Amino acid sequence: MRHGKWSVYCVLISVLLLIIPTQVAAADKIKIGVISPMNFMQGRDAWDGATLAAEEINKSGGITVKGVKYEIDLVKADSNEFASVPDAVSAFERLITFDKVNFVIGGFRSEATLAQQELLAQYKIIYLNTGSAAPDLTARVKQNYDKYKYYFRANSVNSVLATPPVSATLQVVMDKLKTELGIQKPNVGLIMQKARYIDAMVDPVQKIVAALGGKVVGLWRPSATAPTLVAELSAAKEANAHLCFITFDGPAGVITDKEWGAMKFPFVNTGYNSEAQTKQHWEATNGYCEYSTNLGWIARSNITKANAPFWDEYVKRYNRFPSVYSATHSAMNVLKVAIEKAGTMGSDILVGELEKIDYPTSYFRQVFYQKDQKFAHDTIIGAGHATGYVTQWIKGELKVVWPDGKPLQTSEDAQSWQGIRYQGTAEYKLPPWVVEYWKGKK
Amino acid sequence: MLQNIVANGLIFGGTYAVLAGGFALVFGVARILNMAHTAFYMVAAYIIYSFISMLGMGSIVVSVLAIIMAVILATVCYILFIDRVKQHDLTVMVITIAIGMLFQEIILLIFKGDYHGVEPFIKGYLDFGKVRITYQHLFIILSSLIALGLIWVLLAKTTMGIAIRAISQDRVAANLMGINVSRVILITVGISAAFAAFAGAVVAPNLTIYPQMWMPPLITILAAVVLGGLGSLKGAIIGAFILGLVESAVVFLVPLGGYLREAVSLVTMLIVLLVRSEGLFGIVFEEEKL
Repeated sequence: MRHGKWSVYCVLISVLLLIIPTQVAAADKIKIGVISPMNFMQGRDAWDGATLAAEEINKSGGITVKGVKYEIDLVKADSNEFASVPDAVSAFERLITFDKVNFVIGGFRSEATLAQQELLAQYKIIYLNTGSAAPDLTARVKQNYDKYKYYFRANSVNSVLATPPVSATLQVVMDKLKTELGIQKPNVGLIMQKARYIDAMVDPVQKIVAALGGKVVGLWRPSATAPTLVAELSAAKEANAHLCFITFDGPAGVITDKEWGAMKFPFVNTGYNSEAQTKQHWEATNGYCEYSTNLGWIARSNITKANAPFWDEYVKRYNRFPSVYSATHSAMNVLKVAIEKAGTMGSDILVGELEKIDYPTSYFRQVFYQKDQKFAHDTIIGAGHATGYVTQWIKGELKVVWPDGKPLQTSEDAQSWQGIRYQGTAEYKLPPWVVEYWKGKK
Repeated sequence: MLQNIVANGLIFGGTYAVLAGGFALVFGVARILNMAHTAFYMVAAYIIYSFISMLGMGSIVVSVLAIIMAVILATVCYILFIDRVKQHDLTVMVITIAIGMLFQEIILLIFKGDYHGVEPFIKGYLDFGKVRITYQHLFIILSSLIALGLIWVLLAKTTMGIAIRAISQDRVAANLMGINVSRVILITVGISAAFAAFAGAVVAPNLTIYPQMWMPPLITILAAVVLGGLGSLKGAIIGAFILGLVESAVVFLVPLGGYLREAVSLVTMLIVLLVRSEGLFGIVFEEEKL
């Protein structure tokens, strides 16, 4: 009987000994949820960017909080938000309640992110959103700070605040039309996908066109899944457009560039096309995207010291360019710096630390707007901060053509852009068929 | 503007017509509302992309292979999933939706959500006045007309065609007259899939190839088929061209509403149904003739 009793004690002690180290090990991890549509480019890039960052941070000793080193443990969540916004909310809640993550990064569709924001105050969880562009997302942080303060748009871009680089996509090509073809008042067609964040861009873009001396000759609003854009492109040609500002973030962005190049529509193609920033775009359009110009948030440059090494490692490992969605890489680093400075993972203290952060990430200098500003917790865009790039496809390569060192005419601080030009910036080239079509016609 | 509306309407309508023709054919004969119809179009586009980009094969050979493979796939799916429940229309419809989704998920697993493209079979373009049209677009319109002509010859001039029409008119009587109904239905399923794959083959160079590409045309061809009169091949084809023209007109006349192209197609269908409940060419809803 006595032996039996000791046997029970031994078993209990053994079990405790087995459990205790496991708990200690578990406590040394910081769990970060990465949420995005994982079967798509957006999700894959978000996961790859985060994975690369986690490996780098863990290799360099992890995140140190008050002398204790924590390893990063990533948790993948497929938001399925192309098909269903409720799925995106459920996946987010599952990350918090089931996977018990400490932080969440990623996100894509603004409609899904708006819904996910409703969970943040309830669970006091910080969300570094790296893929949504609707202005409402940060406007509501100012309007209801206590409820939405855990949300930060890190390394992603508010479509309204993106005015400087949007303006640059027009200025670069309009300057060239003026100097090379003598077209002083270019006709501008706007082909802008129907989407919440793009709705917010329509008026500003029209104002920029007018400020740069152009004339809007048509506005078309196709869907992101339109199988062909030949009707819109034909309509722009019929309206005598010298250039078209084209905005897409779905499959229609691929076919637009392909049809534009294959049918040699006689206008310049510029704007914001998320697909055009990918390495695969050249193959997907069979090279017909050549000479298209595009606004991007990441390119290989010397904008920060971390940019080129990150770009090179990413391309080497994944054989793809990092995209705006791979900005999970910089979001992770921002999080690490904030946690280490705060010395805690407590959400309320960390919010304050993130509001103070000024850190050169692999994308750009990350500084957030303050809580009393219109777009609180949004990334500051401007000279010396996140500048964005204008890129152009030339012979299979994505060349940076802006910032080009010239003042940005439509910007309130136009002169602050003077001299901002990254290493390797090329000169913008007009498509030869556009030159041929308009030479002498004006 | 009118020239452009007509030209683009013909481009849209040509593709929809080939897809809608196959859809109407299999409904007319087998009463299968095949919601996976455009999934075969997607599968064909992926086969063409894979064989051209990975194996470097010629586009014509690959297109023929894609059509053959889609036909085999469709007939296998019919035998495995549909044949045993073909008397239950609703079950069949749900099963075909599941088949379409299954193909989409398999493609997603293999190819991920990346976008792909195929080189045009014939490069270059023509200017007709204000209209710019590629040789590939002309090829789509011409080959669609040829394919539709071939199906008309098959249905009107061959024994198999007579059997297909007989079954579409009265399955029981056709059976009593000695026609092997099951065999003819199986062949019709194959022909229908061949139509979808053919559309995928000729249109692939003008599309972005991605796993959900089968969804947008499905809505439009459903509208075309109902507009023309369910089961009527002629009605489906004319309905497809009408909707092609309507979609083109929306872009030119209501540029801010381009994203509503599909919605306008559905509204057009509803208006026609309000005036004529059996559709444009439906004689009697259930007993359609060629």
